[in-house]
Amino acid sequence: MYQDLHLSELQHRIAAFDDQLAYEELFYRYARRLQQFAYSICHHREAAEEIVLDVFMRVWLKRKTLDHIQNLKLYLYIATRNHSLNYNRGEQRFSSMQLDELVTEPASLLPDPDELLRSAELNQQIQEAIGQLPAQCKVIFRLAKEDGLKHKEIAELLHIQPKTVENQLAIALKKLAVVLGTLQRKRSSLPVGGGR
Amino acid sequence: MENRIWLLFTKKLTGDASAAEVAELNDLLSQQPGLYDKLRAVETAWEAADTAQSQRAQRSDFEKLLQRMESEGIDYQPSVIEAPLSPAPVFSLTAVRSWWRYAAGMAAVALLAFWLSTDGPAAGSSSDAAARSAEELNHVSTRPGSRTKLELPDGTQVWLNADSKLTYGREFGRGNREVQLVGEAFFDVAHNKKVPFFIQTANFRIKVTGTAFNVRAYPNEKMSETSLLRGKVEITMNDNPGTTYYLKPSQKLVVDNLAGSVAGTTGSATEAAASSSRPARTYSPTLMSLNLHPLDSVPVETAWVDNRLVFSDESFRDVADKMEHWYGVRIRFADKALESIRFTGRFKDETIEQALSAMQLTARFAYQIREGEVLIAKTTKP
Repeated sequence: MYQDLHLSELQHRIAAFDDQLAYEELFYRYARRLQQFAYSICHHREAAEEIVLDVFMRVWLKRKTLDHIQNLKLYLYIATRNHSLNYNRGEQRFSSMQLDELVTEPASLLPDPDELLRSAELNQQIQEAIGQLPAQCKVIFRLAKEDGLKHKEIAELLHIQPKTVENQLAIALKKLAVVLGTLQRKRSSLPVGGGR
Repeated sequence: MENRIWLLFTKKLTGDASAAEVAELNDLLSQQPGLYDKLRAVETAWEAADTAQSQRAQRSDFEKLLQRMESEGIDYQPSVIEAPLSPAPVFSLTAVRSWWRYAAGMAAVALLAFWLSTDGPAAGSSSDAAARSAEELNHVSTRPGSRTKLELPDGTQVWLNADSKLTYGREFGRGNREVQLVGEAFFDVAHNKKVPFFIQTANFRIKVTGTAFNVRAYPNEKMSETSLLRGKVEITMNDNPGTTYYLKPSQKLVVDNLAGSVAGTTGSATEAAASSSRPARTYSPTLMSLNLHPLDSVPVETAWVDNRLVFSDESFRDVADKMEHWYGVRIRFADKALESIRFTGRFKDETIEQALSAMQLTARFAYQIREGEVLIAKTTKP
């Protein structure tokens, strides 16, 4: 039941009723993605996990004020960003957002096993295509596609102009189109049928 | 123009394009048919992975969050827990009733002779967070001296008495209604003929369709009791599943805990040590009538639900058992003979000092409270 609820409904339930099932669902929905986003900033798997637990812990502590947040999803990403940058600061590393430094996990685009079975081939192609994108392109692409963030949200999150997001995304898509085209040509040149 | 197409297409994919921009994109694409297939391929790839369903976090991830919260001392109570039935007992004589009302003035004098603990009974309830995170179960538990009321997902109301624990699976309410109980609870079971409600205790199992009843199954007490107010329940012993006991309203089934756990041959460890070779005497399950209080004919067995500590012609030993759970204390008898004094009484908001003082009006004994332990002793005073 909670899986079908809109984010704003979850948000309200947590704020108004301390609804733990709603809170749990919020976690299930975003924890993994936020963890990947954190990882792309701090480059440390355990730290990324801790950062996200921290973000969710604070959400629970501040649940009574949750209703005041207009865009909870973006709020979660921004909180994760800030925690990640704080972590970097503590580690005496770069503390401002440097897109070039963003790394992505190779496995981040792997969907769940069911999904993999359903469109294994296509996903393989996307994987290959994304793998060839420059780092910051990859991050923006993932935030847009995987995390479903809008251009403006990504811009706010990464401290860049919305125009930059659009341009980067357009570049990513163009390259994706090229790779997909190449893959398709390669595939069609292979022997078809498979049976001997 | 091609760049413009890609830009508009990007906006469209992320849902950022206005209606005008979508129209512009379609218009431009009609002039560039060569791009159409490319965009189509990208669009398919974009939508290939279900972004909402893939990469959902797992329960195991959430367990880590619960552990983290516990280590940070953050209160994460199961949402089923409501406020405790009442705040900690208040020092008030207005709620005092029945026999002890007549001699309240004298009780205050009797109190002075003894050193009194300033520690009140532990209040509130806690979720067994560690156990909860260990397996896929919900635990609701109460500390000694505190009671709570909760509602299960199927609408069943449960009053959980002091020092008790109720456990149910995460699947509760979806095709099964099964709970485990250690301690005492009163159930008002939501009616559902299709899915019977089961309660498992250490020694027996209760099957219910829709009813109100009380189960008392504390591991440290000699007897367990199931008391039925209305409806119908069936009880089977764990060690004798072939026989089913049917309870009618106003009846209770009393089960000897030793008989259930060790098949009536030996006593518990402590009892066995105390009486070396003699096997403890055990009783087979017995059907009895509910114990109606002489003053108001309300069943004594379920009075605690109404936040009342009630006993009717019961031995001091049995009364002490009830008081231990009720107030979250340990009660020791310095003299065995005192254990057999019989009491009838009723308390609501009294502190343990008030209760014991009231009891001193009908029986001669002295008491001393120190660090959560009550010592009952003979008195030489008149």
